[in-house]
Amino acid sequence: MHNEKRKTNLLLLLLLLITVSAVAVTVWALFFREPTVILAPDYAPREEEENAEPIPDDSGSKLEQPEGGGAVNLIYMTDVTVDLSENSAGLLFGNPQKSTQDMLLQIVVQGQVIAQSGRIVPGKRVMVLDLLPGGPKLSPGGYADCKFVVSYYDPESGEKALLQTEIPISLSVAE
Amino acid sequence: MRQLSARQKRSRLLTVSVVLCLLSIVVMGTVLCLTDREISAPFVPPEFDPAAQVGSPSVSEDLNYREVYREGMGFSSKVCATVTAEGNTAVIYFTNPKENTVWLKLRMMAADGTVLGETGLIRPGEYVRSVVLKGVPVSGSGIKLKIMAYEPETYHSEGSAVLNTVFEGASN
Repeated sequence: MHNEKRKTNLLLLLLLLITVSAVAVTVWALFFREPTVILAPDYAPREEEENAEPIPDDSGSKLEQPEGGGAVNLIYMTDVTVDLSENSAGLLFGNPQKSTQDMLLQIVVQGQVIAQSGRIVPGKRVMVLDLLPGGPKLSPGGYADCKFVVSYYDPESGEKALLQTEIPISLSVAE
Repeated sequence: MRQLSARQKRSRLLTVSVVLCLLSIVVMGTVLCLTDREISAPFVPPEFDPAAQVGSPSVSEDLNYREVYREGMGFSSKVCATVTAEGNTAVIYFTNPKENTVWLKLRMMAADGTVLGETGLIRPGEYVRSVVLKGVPVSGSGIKLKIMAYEPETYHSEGSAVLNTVFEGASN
């Protein structure tokens, strides 16, 4: 009988200790817990491309990437049409979900940038890009020596990769 | 009214204690989850290095002053590959050639990535002689010189390059 009473008392003491500890942790979390501060980035973040939209039926696991590097996959069509009345370029360029890097796309005509996207994150594509204000004047017709220039950015640090990709394209301009 | 035996009283007390204990653990878990917050510190543009000087430095050959450039890079720079100490500073002669269109800064790190010190931004055509160190590394230890390029005005990244070298300690 005495033994049972002693066991119960010990159990009660243990429960009391656990309860008091839990209440103490709760009070600390509610009133004294400091939020985790993520260090300030080294670079100013680039805005996400406002014309970007999700790539339909895009799934799959991320590509394997070497340490300190990146792995990317691209979707694109090499035909680009500039609509002068809309002041925009119609195109297809996507950064599939499998990629591990954000992308930035430039349309370059004879060495001059006519349009530049914001950050295109994995899983997004662009079908239209606004022409750069103050860019070179274009006349209706076809243009030679045109290309996409794709730059890659680390999604966490915003650091630009040293490598770029250049893709020759066919560009036509319509009024 | 029925009188409870001492045993029944203990049993009830135990039941209530168990319920209170479990309840306090559930509340604690919920509060811990709800208060687990992260705050992203905003980007703060780095300052220009007040010790930056205009021109190209004249550097002793012993310091192995050389260009850091690889094909495809949008910028080049010059720095001492032989890094020596002067008090609590490291002599680097970090140079942003005038042909560049980017702003540069250099971060000196230990082999494990710990930041030892960094310069401020320098414009094309400028250089800084040395960088102040938070802690002087052991002579002969491996260090990394990370050169970071910024697009002027926007502070967007224009890429980076890392030079692995050895800290030589105090110069003779």
